[in-house]
Amino acid sequence: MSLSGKIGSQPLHGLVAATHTPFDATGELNLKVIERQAEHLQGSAIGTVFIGGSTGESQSLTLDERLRLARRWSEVLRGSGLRLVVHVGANCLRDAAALAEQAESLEADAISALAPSYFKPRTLDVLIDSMATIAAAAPATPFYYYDIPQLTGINHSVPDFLERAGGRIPNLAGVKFSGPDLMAYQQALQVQSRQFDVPFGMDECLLAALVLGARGAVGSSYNFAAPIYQRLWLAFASGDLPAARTEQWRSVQLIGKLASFGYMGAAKAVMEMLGVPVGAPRLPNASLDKARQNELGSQLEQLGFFDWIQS
Amino acid sequence: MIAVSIPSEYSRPQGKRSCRRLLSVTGREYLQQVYRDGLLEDTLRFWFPRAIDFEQGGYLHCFDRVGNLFETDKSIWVQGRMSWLLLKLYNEVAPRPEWLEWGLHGLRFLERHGFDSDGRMYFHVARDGQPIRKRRYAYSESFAAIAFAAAARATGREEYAARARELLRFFLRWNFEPGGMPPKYTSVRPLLGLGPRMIALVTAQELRSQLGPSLELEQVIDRCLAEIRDLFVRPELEVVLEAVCPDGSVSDHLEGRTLNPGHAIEAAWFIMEEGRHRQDWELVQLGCRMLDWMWRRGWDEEFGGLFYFRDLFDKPPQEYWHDMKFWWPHNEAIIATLLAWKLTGEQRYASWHQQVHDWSYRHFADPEYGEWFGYLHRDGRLSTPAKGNLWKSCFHHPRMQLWCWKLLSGRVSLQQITIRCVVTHFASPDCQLGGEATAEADSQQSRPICPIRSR
Repeated sequence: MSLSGKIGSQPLHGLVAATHTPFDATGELNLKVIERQAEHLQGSAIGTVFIGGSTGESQSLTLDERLRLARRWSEVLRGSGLRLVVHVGANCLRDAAALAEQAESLEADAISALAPSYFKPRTLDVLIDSMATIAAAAPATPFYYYDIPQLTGINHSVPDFLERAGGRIPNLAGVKFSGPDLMAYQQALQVQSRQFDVPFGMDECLLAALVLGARGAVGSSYNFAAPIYQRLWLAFASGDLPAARTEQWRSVQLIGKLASFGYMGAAKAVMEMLGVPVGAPRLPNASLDKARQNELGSQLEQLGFFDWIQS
Repeated sequence: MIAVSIPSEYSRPQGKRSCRRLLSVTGREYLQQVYRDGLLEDTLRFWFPRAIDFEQGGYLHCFDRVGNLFETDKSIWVQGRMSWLLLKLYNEVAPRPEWLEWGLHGLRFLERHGFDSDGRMYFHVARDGQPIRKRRYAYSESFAAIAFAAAARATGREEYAARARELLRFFLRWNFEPGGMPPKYTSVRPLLGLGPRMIALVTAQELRSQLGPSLELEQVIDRCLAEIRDLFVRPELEVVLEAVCPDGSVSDHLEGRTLNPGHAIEAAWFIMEEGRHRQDWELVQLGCRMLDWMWRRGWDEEFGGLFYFRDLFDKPPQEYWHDMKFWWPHNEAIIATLLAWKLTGEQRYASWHQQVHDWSYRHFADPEYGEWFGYLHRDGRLSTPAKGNLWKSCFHHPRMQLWCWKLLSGRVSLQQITIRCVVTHFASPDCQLGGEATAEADSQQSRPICPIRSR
């Protein structure tokens, strides 16, 4: 399909897995695992992958590594039925633009970018200018601003961003909303100037977002716990809120457990347990030693996690 | 899951009479990839979520070549068909929440705006659901029935199942009971149509597949099979008629002589499928004969493709668009020839499959913007660039892709049928039971491409 046909036709609906970036034992990029990751996600009925985001440790990758990562994903996904969203955000907007340009040449279904956060955009207009610079490098690819204030420290209003950025960024498709402010989330869904897509990014309160009108969700736990969320969504769509709440509570317990071990290292260890050898995270994210991994495994077992993820 | 590397010889058209592609493992892998990737990466991407009307509900479907909306009115057939397709994919391909949401989205519009106060359904409504047209016939009800059935299976909600059954019962009463549908003609020349019988058949089959078997559904299927066989299938003329006198005799007038090869071929595969389901070799043979006759009457030897209408006695056809090439007869013929080949192993079906597949993909496909065009002139030139209108939507083409993908991935159980075929046809020179027929049993074990929901 031509690129021009993609604008407006590719919102991030359903469950979108924010994938881990695979490393080998020495911490080098281990691209051959991507095939296994894709196979695992396809087997979990995931429709779209979001690569090189926060879960993908993009801020711990070199530009060259990010380019190689995107190229490999695009090769692996060809013919798989999975859609590809490439995260391109970086502190250096030139790097971000280079990644955006590559993503467009790889025919990615969409791109997304975090705000630069070492030097922070002080006003909403500066944030919009920064995002416009990146989006312009991939003018035929839908662009999503990626808002995650708890990591970037940037707290500009998402609904205001959507109201004002639409005119500045022609390929703006929406925002990946990973903040906890559900009032702002609902306001973002109600922006009237154009129809925007606002996938929700906090797996542990997906049900709340669905109630407010979410149509898509991007998250890391969809890598290893998709069946929980598929049952949650089905129960919600069927009008069975108690069942949906049961599944959300499982998600909350799971995420709480992983966080207590250090989320990134624990989440990657869970992928290993499921036969997807993504390796340990890079510093500054801590990894779990063998004993901690075993401890995590047995606590997850106790929790019922391995039964929860049977589809 | 990773794209199979296929030698280019299998992706090139291989000449009109070739059947090589289906007879080799590589060729079948190539075709499976064409159907699966076509469904997941081309057809679904063209339609969704573009077609979802988030503002006023239901599906918008009148799209031009690029995917721009050129008309906001909505067909009620389309709402049911697209809802069914999405929920069917949710039930049988993968439990993706977006397919569930989008499928239920169309169903809600149908519930709200599809029905008139007398319980009958409209045919065509405005974007906001205000009724524009209600037809004499009741196909809206049949397509809504399969959507409700698929929704019942997806959500487990009994009220959807009950609605599906009610709609089928209504369709049957309306079509087949006195006092139902007003006749198309005066009492001077009453005619019975193939359409209501084949649609009742496939609707009952689909309800069985989504809701589970029941005596009522089997009786509907039995009755449709008997009436199609006894009234519309005419071995002495080697034809499947589209409309007959109530006693089954030929009405030798314009309407009675009008043949619709694509329609008859569609009915043929419904019957073959019933033969496969019941492991009834006679039904398979009936479907195959219907395909044989209507292929020979419908295929355009000069330009390729299937004619839209033919005249029973080769007189000038009634309809002046008779020689156009519409997309859906080709979708149906691609399924029918593949299913016939899978069930019988007869080589001509492999040839025909390749012939209609290659012609269709060469002329209907739009690699640049995705999906298929719907309407071509006789020589294959484009007539109208619409990808969707009140008739064409996301239905025949993805249904073909889904069926053919499933057929080629060996998810259709054929072992007993294949054995019957050997017994019945061992002497037939046309019967090529080679690698494929014997490979069936093995391929049952192969891992499905996408997980199938177990319920």
